[in-house]
Amino acid sequence: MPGSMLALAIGSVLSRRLSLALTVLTMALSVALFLSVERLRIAARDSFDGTISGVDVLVGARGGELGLLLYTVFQIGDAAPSMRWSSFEDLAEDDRVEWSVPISLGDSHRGYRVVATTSGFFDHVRTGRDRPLRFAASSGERIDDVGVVVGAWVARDLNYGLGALIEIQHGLASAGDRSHQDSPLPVTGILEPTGTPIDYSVFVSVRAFEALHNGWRGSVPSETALDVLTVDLADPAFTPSLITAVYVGMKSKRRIFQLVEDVEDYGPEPLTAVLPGVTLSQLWVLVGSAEQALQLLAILIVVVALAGQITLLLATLDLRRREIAIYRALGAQPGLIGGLLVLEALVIGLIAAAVGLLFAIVGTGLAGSVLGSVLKLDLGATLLTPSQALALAAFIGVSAASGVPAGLLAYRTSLQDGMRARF
Amino acid sequence: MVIEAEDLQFVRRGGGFSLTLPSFSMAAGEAMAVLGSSGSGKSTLLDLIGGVLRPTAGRLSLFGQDATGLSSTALDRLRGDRMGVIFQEHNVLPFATVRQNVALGVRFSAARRARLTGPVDAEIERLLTLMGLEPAAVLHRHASDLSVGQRQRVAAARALLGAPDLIIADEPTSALDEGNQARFMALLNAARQETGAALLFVTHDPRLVEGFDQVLRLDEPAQSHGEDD
Ligand SMILES: Nc1ncnc2c1ncn2[C@@H]1O[C@H](COP(=O)(O)OP(=O)(O)O)[C@@H](O)[C@H]1O
Ligand SMILES: [Mg+2]
Repeated sequence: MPGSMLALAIGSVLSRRLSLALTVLTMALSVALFLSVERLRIAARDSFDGTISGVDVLVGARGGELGLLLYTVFQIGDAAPSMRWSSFEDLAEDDRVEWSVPISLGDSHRGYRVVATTSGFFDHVRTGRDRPLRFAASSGERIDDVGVVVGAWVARDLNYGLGALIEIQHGLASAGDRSHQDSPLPVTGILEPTGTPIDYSVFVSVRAFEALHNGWRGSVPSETALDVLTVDLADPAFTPSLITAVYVGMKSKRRIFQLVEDVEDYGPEPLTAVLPGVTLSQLWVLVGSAEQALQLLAILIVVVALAGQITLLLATLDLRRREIAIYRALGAQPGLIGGLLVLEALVIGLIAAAVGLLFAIVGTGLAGSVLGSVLKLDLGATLLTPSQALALAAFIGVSAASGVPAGLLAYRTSLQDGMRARF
Repeated sequence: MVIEAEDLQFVRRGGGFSLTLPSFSMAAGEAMAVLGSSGSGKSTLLDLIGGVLRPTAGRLSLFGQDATGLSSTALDRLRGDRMGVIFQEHNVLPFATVRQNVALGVRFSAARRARLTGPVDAEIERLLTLMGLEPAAVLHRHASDLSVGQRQRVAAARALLGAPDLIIADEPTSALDEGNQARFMALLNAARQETGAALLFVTHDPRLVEGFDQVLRLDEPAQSHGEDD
């Protein structure tokens, strides 16, 4: 007859449905909040770690490693010193290197930085969890010609479509008179949002970049400025002599450290090699403290909700003394009555966790589209990460355990009340 | 013997109340009334018999076993297996149906279940009928929908389920009007005679003790000096 006891427990719970429903709702909301914060936290970290996730090694001129990474990937801090094009060529020919992409920085377009590279950038660089770059629109031309590829945010902000002609400014300040005004370049590709600085970048080929600069001496345009649209970019004259950095993808990850050592010992010029994934993870420890505070807050809210559950169980216990006295009179052991309360707490915890999970899924589903477009965060498709599942299991466990004080009290009062249902 | 009590004494912890009982015994199927005013210790006596409280002194034997030597678990089991209990009021779970409430009588005791002679539902219906209730009309109603008199009869049916050897009833009629009191007493007596259970019936009303085989009076001043509750 265990089913009949369950039916009674359900009846008992239903007879207290209003206060229980409110408590379950509070708990479910706290669970939903915790799960959402956790999910946001993971999304933020993934987005950070995955800013250039396809890149195994970042090579630049000798200097601060962090400075090189921050400048190249996040456009933060001072410009990194330049390295030679010939060093890039040497790297590209290395047996261990699967692919390599040059990066040249320094110019801007209406406040957005210009990244001079090759079309290999779009083939190899990944974001997030190994997500390749995708074009929202493309005229089919590679930027190795005169085309320009703009990040999703740039296209949206400046309202650029395919074929729009844009001008590159020298340096980052938007000084109109300093722009390469004679050389507007057509937009040939628009990237999909990535949630990384790529969305805020304008991509041109290193050769077009060099051609634009050919007419420049320092920061002053010379009389001999070229019209980039008419020059032959295949002309070796437009091979840049200096670039900022090289993104390298390895054939085998096991050779990474060997390559790093060789780069550091490179003869022709002093170079440095950075492992972006590792360095970004280390950096996250510093950057992520705000998010840890948020997580702590979410945990505290869950704790408060659990305290609410204990309060409810203890408060309604008084109302249930008659019920308990009846069970006692019929021969129920105090332990069974305590167990009943713990079971009830467990059921409350299970329902709260399930409803909370549902809230979190619906909530992040709704928020996902907003966050995806505004914050550029990819909330991911995973309903429950292993750590979240663990946290949820812990919640249910603690919730069930919160029935223990009520169970102990019930045990005690059931002995005291004996079998009289007074009141 | 159902009960053999020798010089039972109970002192409530922390003092304040003590109860000294004359020796008494109850044979199988016998009906005994305990008469006493409020606060005289009637419910305390039932707690001692039910195994919820332990006597401070004296000897208590239940169904031929020495109850003073039993563990509280064993006492709970003994109560569940061999006794039916009827309270003064609040006997039923208001959120459960009449059927569920009566079925609880054998819920916590395998021995009680084993003594059922037929299907539990047939026995529930038989006992409800014995207690003057129409099974078809009340079986699936929530106990909260019943009158106080009906609830007490449901409680009696539950106490009788699974053929217990002893029914202990703590002023089960005190919340009923006179007509219902008499009717309840008549039904309970008939039902227990039919099932062969002994009855230990507690009341403060001298009019109700007629027809019992024995009457135990708790009001002699020497035996109690508790304050009223
Ligand atoms: N749980 C308790 N704690 C303290 N005193 C109690 C408790 N239960 C009963 N009493 C006291 O014990 C005495 C006897 O109570 P009780 O056996 O319930 O009497 P009756 O049932 O005859 O009215 C009373 O003085 C009462 O106040
Ligand atoms: Mg009493």
